[in-house]
Amino acid sequence: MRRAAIWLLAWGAWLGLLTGLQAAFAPKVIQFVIPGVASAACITSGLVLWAADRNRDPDERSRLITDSSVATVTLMVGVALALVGAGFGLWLILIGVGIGALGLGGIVREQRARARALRGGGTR
Amino acid sequence: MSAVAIPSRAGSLRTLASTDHKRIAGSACVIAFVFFLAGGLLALLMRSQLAADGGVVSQNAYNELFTMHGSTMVYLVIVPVALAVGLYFVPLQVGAAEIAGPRVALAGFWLYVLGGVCMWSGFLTSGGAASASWWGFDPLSDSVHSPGGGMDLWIFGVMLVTLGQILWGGCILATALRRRAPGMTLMRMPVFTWTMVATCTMTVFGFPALILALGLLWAQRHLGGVLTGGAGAVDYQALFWFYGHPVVYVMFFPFVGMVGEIIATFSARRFFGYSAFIVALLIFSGLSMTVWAHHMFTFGVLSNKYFALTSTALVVPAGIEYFDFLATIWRGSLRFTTAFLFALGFLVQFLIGGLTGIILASPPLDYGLNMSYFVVAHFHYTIFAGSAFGLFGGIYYWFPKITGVMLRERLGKLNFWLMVIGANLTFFPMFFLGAEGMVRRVARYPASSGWQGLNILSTVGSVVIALSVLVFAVNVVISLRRRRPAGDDPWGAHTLEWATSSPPPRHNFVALPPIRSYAPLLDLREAAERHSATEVSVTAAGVLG
Repeated sequence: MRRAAIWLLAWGAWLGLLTGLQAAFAPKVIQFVIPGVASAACITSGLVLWAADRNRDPDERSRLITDSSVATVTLMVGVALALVGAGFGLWLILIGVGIGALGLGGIVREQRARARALRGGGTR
Repeated sequence: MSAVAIPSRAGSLRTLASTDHKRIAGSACVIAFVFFLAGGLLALLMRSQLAADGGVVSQNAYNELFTMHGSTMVYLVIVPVALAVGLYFVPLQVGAAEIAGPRVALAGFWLYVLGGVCMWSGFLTSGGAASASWWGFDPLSDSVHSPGGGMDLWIFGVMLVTLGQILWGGCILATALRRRAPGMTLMRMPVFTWTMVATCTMTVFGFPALILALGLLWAQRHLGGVLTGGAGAVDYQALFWFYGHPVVYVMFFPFVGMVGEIIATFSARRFFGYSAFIVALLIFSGLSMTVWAHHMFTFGVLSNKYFALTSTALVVPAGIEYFDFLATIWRGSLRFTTAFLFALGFLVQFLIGGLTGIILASPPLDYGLNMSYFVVAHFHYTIFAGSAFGLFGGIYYWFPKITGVMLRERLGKLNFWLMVIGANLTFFPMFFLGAEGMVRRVARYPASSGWQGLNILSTVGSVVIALSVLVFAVNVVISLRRRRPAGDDPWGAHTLEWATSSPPPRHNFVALPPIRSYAPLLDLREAAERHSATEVSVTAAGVLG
């Protein structure tokens, strides 16, 4: 799996090269900054992935597949309401934050249940 | 790696909150189809207005119509569907039991739904929906020129939808890069999966620019002093188009992948030039992140020569991909199924969109054609006559896998021919209208211009498109009610998704075949054929001996 980072590194480098080519065309700063940031982010992601995969053993653990997550839906409803609240008033932001907090709590609960199930030795 | 499913909860909850990538993608496609119908209805209203040369809706209402039509089709239909198909099929094609980050994928789905509702709820506000085009031009979209909640809802809606798409892109990319089955190396991933890798890379690293642009736009509307003067408008457009051009390829690459799979399957041939295709995809997707300012040629403030160069250079990887398609078809045992016809339609019609794109990549020509109907025709040839044909090809190809039943071929072919006639009748006259000087986004044009005939032709075409969509809907309903079971692999396809049941089980595969190339099922068939040929020759030798 270590090769997986190659795509991100190659793509980021190619974008970086194309961004650098602009130097010959008297560019504005913004022309450099936007694709430059994207290129740097891609290369960084590639390096992180490469480092993460470098010491990874083949994963032989059982993986639990969660079938549904109401908490995730709740969190997203909260996020959406809080964002829309930026245009419609603090009251909506607070409602959104409240619902989001409920969702976040639910996700923590789901993760704990998942950890318990794994400790309990889920069948393969 | 093995996978175990946690016992599921109640039925309706399961659909709304399911973390199964297949359910999420299926729900997203259904919702996108609803938005497609709604966006199509807006288009029909616009076409009625132009055929009648005014009188159907007011200029303000027309502004809302084209803004919400464009926004719906780009943000809520083609991009989400392109990603949703990847969400469904990438894990299956790489032999994964599950998508990477199933909760994140579910979060992306809900951001999409809530964002879409947010955008459309602008129609319920007193000032109406957003009316500053799907680009949300600044200063047209500022609080002076677009007051009211409709524009704010549009901004928030697009931000939510885009955030959801970035999450989906991350999940798909992580699945392709990190969840592949043993034996599924990078250079054994199917063509469609590769196109999704390119698509999702662009999504993850290009789309945040739109969220930033919209955040700045919102701040400008409510706080001021953020996007001020001409420089502010240029900055907004630079950020927007850094999203806005790559998104064209996000709406293109997945359908190229679908067409590649369809052509290889129905030509009964291995995909020609696989490695060259992957390299072309890398070059293509990188280049497509550096062509964005060709939308700003007429500004005259960015480096037009550089962006003309990169925009024209796109023909090289595009040419390689077309060559691969044609070489795959060449001397193949062709089966003219509906899916294959749509794939051929994609190749021919996208070519028209692509070639007219070369014209627009030239600054001197673009100065004359910018903001005219020529651009509208070019854009719709790429997105509708191109990508939508690829999408319908993909639907006819993968519907049996998703539902377990076959779509009716006769109705499918009627759907195809109506769509060919409708698309060309609608969009081809627009090239002439644009060349004659008809500008886009106007509700009325001078009676003396002589443009009404071509506009009526275009409107008739849009009605034919609506008819073809109706035939498709009828086909789906009939096929789901009077079921003709598809089996696991009704087409004799090449890739892993056809190695599992139709529809696939919760964790996708009971067992995987050996993976020794990007076409493992074709490998198996060829090995079986070689084996039976050897048996026949041994038997023949025994008889002769």
